[in-house]
Formats: sequence, structure tokens, C-alpha cells
Amino acid sequence: MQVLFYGDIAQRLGRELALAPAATVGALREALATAHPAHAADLRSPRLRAFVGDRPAADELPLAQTDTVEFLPPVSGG
Amino acid sequence: MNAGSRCILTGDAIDPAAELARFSQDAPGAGAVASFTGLMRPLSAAGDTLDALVLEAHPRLTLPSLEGIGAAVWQAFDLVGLRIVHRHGTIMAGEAIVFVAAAAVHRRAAFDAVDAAMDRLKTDAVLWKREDGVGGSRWIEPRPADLADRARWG
Repeated sequence: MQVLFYGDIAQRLGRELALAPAATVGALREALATAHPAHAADLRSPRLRAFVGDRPAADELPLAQTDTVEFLPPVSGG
Repeated sequence: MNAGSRCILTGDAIDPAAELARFSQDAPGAGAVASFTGLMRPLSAAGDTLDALVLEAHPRLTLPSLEGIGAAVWQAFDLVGLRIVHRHGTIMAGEAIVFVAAAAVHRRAAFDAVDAAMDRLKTDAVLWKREDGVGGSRWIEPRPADLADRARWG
């Protein structure tokens, strides 16, 4: 399962990670937090929004093995 | 996207004077044109010299976020033209980050539309901003003042 990061979290974890498929977005967050304990609080935080198919994804959302999940930190334009 | 409203995301340098000239020439019935240019400041909030500002865009979500802001501002104010140009990538001190122009029959709508567009861009545009300087890199989030400004427009 492909996981993409942006912004601050991408600088810390890398742009792209490959993980074993997770059943839900929430389960994916937990797997990431377990694999990267130094960043666990950020990975579990709702301020780091999950997107699937370019749409916001709640933690309850079930995932298909071929889904790509993107994690977007708080934005700041202008 | 309304024919009178245009939003652009670019990796190229923005020429605010050229943008304003082009916009002003193509604003039918306008009695007022207002504009804003956001520039990269040479110092961080803490007063450190900055080498560059890096604005990271999302490959698919950033432009629609600009267009959503443009559409909201177009609906909220009585305008004959609106243009938002936002740069992404590496930006050096003094260079333009964002250009917003609004045209209206009367000045109040033009002033307020530019103000509203900038307040929305500061909090809602899908971009991630990083300041690079001697002390390292720092990712920027909206300040409480930015959130308060955004709340002015509902």
C-alpha cells in the first residue's frame, strides 16, 4: 500500500512509504505510528488529514489493497 | 469557473505590473481595479535572514483550492473581474509569491474582494510553506491573526 506525505511530515518521514495493506485509514495511522514512534503523535493527530482518491478520508474508511493514502499537514498559502 | 474569474498556479516568476496591466485592460465596465502583491520578506518573524521560501503544492489539490477561493470571492462580491496568481516552488527575497486583482463597478467591492481573497488564501490554499535560512528550515502554519482574518468573511 502506497503512502504519500507532504510538507513537514514528508521532510521527516520521506515523500513516499510502502506499507503492508491496512484495513482502514485508522489502522494505517496506527501502523505508521508503530513503525515511526518518534512521530507517533503527529501521525495520529487529526490535524494530519488523510486523503484517498483526492478526498478527505476519515479513520473509519475501509481501504483496498491498491489504495494510495496521502497525509496532508495543515496548509499555509499566500 | 466563471468567465470573469481566473486562478493560476505557476512555478514561474510573477510580474505583478504586467499582471495588473493585462487584468485592467480586460475588465469590462469596471470603475475600480484593486490589487495586492505578496512578497517574500527577507527576514523571518524572529528576525533571522532567510535564504528562500519554499512553497510546496499538491499535484492535484492545490489549483482546485485556488479556484474554490476564487469562486467563493466571485459569489460574495459584485465583481466584473477577478484574478489570482499563486507561485509555488523556491522563491527568493523580494520576489512575488501571490498576486490578486479584482475589478468592480464601484471601489468597495474591489477592495473587499482582494482583502477577502488574501485572507482565504492564507488559510485555505493547499500549499505548505517552508522558510529556509541560516538557522535551518521552518515550516509555517497560519498564525492566530490569519485565522481571525479568515473568520471575518464567514
